[in-house]
Amino acid sequence: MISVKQLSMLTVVLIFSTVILYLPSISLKHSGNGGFLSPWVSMIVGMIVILMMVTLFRAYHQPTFLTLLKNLLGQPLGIIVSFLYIFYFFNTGLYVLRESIGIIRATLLPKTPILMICFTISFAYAFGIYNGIQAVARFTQLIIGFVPIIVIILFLGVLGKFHVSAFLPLLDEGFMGVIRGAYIPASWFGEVILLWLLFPYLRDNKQLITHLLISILVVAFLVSIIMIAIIGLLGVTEASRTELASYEVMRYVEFGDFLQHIDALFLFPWILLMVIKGLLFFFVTVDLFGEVFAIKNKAWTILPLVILSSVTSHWLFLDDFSISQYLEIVWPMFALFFELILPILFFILFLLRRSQRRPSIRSS
Amino acid sequence: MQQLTRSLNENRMSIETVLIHCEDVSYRHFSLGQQDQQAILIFITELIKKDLLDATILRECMASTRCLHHIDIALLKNSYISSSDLVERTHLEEIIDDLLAGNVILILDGDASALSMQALGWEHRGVEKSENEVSIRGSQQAFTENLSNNIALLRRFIRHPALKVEKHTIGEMTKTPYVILYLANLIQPELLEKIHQNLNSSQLDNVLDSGNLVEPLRKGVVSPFPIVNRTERPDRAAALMLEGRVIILVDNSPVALSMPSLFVEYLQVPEDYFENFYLQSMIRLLRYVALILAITIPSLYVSLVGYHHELIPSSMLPSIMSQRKGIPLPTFVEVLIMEILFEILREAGLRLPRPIGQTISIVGALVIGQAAVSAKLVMATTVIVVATTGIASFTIPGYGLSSAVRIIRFFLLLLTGLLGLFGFCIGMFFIFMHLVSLESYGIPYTGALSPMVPADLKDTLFRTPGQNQTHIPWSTSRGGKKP
Repeated sequence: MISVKQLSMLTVVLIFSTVILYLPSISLKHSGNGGFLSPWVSMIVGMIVILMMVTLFRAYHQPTFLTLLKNLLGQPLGIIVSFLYIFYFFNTGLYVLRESIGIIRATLLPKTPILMICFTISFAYAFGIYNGIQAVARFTQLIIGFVPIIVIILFLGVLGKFHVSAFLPLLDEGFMGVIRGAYIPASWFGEVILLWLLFPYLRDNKQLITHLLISILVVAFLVSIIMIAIIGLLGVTEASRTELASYEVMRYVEFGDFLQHIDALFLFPWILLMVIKGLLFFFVTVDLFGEVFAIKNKAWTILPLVILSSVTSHWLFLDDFSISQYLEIVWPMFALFFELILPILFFILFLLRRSQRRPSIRSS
Repeated sequence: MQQLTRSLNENRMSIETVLIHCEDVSYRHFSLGQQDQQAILIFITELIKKDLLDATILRECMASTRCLHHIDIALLKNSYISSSDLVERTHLEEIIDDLLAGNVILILDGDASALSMQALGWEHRGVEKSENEVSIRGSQQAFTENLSNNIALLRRFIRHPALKVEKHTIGEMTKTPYVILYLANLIQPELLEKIHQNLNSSQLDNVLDSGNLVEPLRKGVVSPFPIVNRTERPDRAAALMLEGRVIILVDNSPVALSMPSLFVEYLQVPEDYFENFYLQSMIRLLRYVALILAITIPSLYVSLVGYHHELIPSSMLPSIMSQRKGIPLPTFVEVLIMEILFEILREAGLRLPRPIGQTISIVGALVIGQAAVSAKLVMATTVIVVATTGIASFTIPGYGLSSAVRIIRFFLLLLTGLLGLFGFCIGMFFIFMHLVSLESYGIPYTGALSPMVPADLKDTLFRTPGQNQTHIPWSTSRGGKKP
């Protein structure tokens, strides 16, 4: 069992690990120097998803995800939708895995075969899943301190080279630019849909909404600061061309003559955060899969899943270019369908059911 | 269970049959009362105090019962034997067990029961200074091999009726006595139940030291980390009990076991609480830093020199690279060999007599290190790194944790050697994930830190003032759940 505070920390890790690396360049392409506002727009998706999830979770007396779907949609449709979600979680896990491999190869191990890195990370996922969500939550609690440390180091490190002129004229692409810049990152904020499967592991759910909303606000705030640092240092044009802008900014960070070139150190916490993110997706995949097929010992499904994910991720994305193509073209539509559109439909269905039930209660 | 009979000779025969070829068992026949009723005292000569036997049993019985017409065991027990520790036995197996534990057995003809009296008196070591858990402040006493002494040492620290002492025996062959001590108002009843369950189901044949109980006590836990703490200091054992732990003392062992155990307690020492808290907080923080260094320095070094030169500050890079010239081994192999060599030196130093051991360690480290550098087999920096790692690991107070660190260091080194900084990250992930998943009797091993218990943080990374003797951490005393 985990606490609400631990869940909110998992939320921070879930969103922050991806957005810190990818959001700046993707967002700045559309938003101009108003890009630092895009995270605040993207986070609205996360907030809507959280409000809907928690309302449904409480309304149906804290069921598992599968029970909730069966209650809402009926037995056959509930199971079909569960399969769709298994596919979504597995696919997102693969994408996170491949994304991590791409960055590790590009920055740390250019000559190491992909499969070697792939199996190492997958084995780490398996180890985390095997130890259970409680251990994952405790681990997150231990390393969550890295999140503000990264942001502080990044911001302080570039302070001397900061160009205020990069922000002038302010909002050069207008508010529509900010909104366009928020479209792809919204899908990362929407990944909080995963928490739905972790709700049954909560020790209690007091102040659940407050904690989760605060964690989303924290991520938006931290990413905005990073965006400000990136825009101020690299400028919009340069930053939008650089795929991993925040990593690039880390190259400029130096404290005195001694602490220089600390960009590789930035990858240490990032790898840990990314492993947690990936394993969370595979954890819920195993969990939902086990529930659908009524598998008593879910540990047996971990190893096949890990092998499958290693092989599939290698086969699905042949090179780093195909990842960035997937990220910009396929991913937002695909993700938002599962993260926002389907939950909205569930929620409407729930409201309709409730409105139908109330008059019948009154009439009886 | 075989019952005693009314015939003295039959009873003696039964005992002799079991204890055949045990020539240290003495049988002393004598008669009591007006009718010269036959009696026998059975004891193991080397285990008893003969003066006590002569004075309290033989002399008293023989002299005082001379005028009696009929004597039975109950009468002797109630009116004639002045020993404070005696029980009536009716079964042969109980008598044999008592006899082998050092008791004196009195059997009377015409009575189907016997008296078992304690008259223990063998040579044992007195209370001495603790050698393995050295402390500058606080009590200097250490446990001994004598179980009764050890209980007394603890009783002297906690004079409270809540201190409970349960006596048991374990070991099919050795039948070793052990005691479980706890403060009834602080521990969870489930904890005690679990300990009993683990020990009762252990089916151990031989228990020669408290260390033999560790494996049954950590049943089902696969980890290099110690989840049952050990101490040879009564003051530390008392402090652990005051924090809701259960202590187990085993006869013939000067080391007490304590559970549940948290990771943070392996970095605490008694003087943390007896000295100025500013200083001790700083020193405790230093121990944490040393722990991290002891685990990570060699791996980080391998990853920097072997994989990511760009991370080395530019002012240091030329010096390191010039040292690397002419070294035939890759950095990873170089560090690995030096680490193994260091472990060999450490082990040799431990096993040899103390003065020679110290000489071997110092001479070995200095001579081999210097010679290896001169012969261009290793870099001077590597020697510095390995030596720093060794020194850092010596600051860890708990031997259990220190041993775990040695294993982890090699694991991390291997991963880093294979995959550079990425291997280091993944290695750290495995280590921390394993740590947080560990539980000691249902209590999270990393309790106080994660799951974070703000109240207990006052005595983890550092110690805050004023709470040292009164604060009872609920991480351990209440099973890690909020009350």
